[in-house]
Amino acid sequence: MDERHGQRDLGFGPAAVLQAMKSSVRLLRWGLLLLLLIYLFSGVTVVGPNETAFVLRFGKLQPGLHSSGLLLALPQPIDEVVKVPTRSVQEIRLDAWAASPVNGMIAATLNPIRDGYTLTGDANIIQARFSVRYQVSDPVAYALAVKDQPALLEAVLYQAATEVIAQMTVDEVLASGLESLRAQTLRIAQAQLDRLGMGVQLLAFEVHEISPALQVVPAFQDVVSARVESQTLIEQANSYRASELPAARADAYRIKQEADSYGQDLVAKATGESAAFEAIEVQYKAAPQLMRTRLYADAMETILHQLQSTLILQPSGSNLKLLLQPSYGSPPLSITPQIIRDQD
Amino acid sequence: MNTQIIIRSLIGALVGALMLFVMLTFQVRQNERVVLIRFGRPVRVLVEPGLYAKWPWPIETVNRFDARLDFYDARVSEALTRDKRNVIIPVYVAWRIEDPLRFLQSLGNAENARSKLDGLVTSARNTVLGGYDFSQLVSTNRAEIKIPEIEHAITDLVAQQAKQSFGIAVEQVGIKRLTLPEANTEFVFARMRAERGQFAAQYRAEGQQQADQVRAKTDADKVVMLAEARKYAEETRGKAEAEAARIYQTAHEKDPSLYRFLRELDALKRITGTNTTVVLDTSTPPFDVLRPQSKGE
Repeated sequence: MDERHGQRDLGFGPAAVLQAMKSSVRLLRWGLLLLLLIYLFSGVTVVGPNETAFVLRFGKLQPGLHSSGLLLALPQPIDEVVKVPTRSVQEIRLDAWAASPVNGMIAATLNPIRDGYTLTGDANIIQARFSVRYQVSDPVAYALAVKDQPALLEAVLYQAATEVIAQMTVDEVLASGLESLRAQTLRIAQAQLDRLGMGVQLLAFEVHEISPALQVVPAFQDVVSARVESQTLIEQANSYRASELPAARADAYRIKQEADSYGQDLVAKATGESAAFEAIEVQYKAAPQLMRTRLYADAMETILHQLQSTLILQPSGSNLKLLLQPSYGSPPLSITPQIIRDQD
Repeated sequence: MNTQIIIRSLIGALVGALMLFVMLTFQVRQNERVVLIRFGRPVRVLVEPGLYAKWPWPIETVNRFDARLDFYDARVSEALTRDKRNVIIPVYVAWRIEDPLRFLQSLGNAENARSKLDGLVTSARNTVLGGYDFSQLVSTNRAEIKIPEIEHAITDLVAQQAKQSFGIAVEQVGIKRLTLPEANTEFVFARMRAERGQFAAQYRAEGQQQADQVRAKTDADKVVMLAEARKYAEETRGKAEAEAARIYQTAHEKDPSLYRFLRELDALKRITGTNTTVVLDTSTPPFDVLRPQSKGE
């Protein structure tokens, strides 16, 4: 078997090799043609939905920007297509000023190179984490004017933040001034970027974390708790006022009301009694003696009715007519027997 | 056979043309500066982008420089302000190659440029800072801050030298941070703590004071309110009594003797109680009715 094969190969060898070479040359030719075609169309580029592209022909900028879609450009050494993501919003985190305790330990000092921080207007040490969001507004400038865009952007933002923080007090930075810190940093950084011709539009500058150096955080917290304490004291006093004043007002009202009703009562009584007196007086004027007797009799009736004991004596020379005995049970006043004796 | 030769020679010509094109031309990209060197001697400086012709290597070589704005952080070192305060002010430098020939002759590459720039920036920063007080770097008074001015001064100083010596345009030297030597931070912390302690004490004292004020005012208000009420009550009572007296008087004036009589009877009714023993003369009405007739006759 092996021998026969060998013989056949030997016999048809040169022809077969020639045949093989011919076909491979043909294949190579087609392959070359294909490569040529691929090369010719290699300049055709798809510009993504968030991108803008421009063309450099022999290195020279061609007018016109191309938004998303198919861009028909010439192949490489002639045309170069530069794509810039203009529509997508990009974000850079600025963590260089973040507090970085080593193994949870807080060192007594801060190293100016290793530890990020900056100084406030009142020379307090501040640490922070920011982020910035931006969009490419001028793709040509962005791609051709600056080499390392994010690094420069970062530096410019730190520069702006440094300048803004340097003129604020630490309290402004930590609380009320945060909004102005953001707005001013954004404004200064944007102006600086425009001056450098970055072709970038800043959208937002966010402050994620801002605090005094970790070393002095407890002191700052103490101020916060002092403020809360003082607020509590004031609120307690206010609630004292809120409860005491209505009570006092109620007391005052009651006192006034009592006086009013007393007065009204008094006047009403006086009016009533006067009216009664006047009525009697009218009757009395008509028949004085009769009225007098009747009134007297009425009174005697009432008086004698409520007495426990009444002594009625014969009239004598004595002018004493009435004797009041202080209490029953105890002996009457010593004067009594004498009077009686006198009468005897 | 003929067509095959034509095709082959065409392909050959194309390849030859391509090789010539590559060897004899070069491009200057929009952001590049090129120095053309013939046997080591610079012959042309090309600033405008486009396609240019040249002699093939090794006669002429192309030296490209990226003319885009480059950025780097200057080395950090201590500086002294006019009022002798030590500060450490890290700065960044935004620079680009403006004169590629001078750059090539003096520095050659970006790495060298950085170390040379570093020296320039450091000395310029120290010189400029020596003319300003610490309070012009950080201050709560906005008008006092001179940071942009200091930056401009450093930039100008560096730019001038960099352009003359290295063909570099320094567009911006920016202050990235304001820091202090490490040893100083401890004192800053002590001062910050003291300041905070003061604030805390002040808040507490103010709170106490305000609370005390509110309480005192409340108590005073209460006293005033009650005093007013009492005053009103006294006045009302007085007025009512006067009114009552007047009413009584107008009534009683009509017959004073009757009034006295009625008052006396009334008083009697009130004075006598169950414990009272009354000794009466039989002539007292109505007991006079009981008196023996004989005596009456």
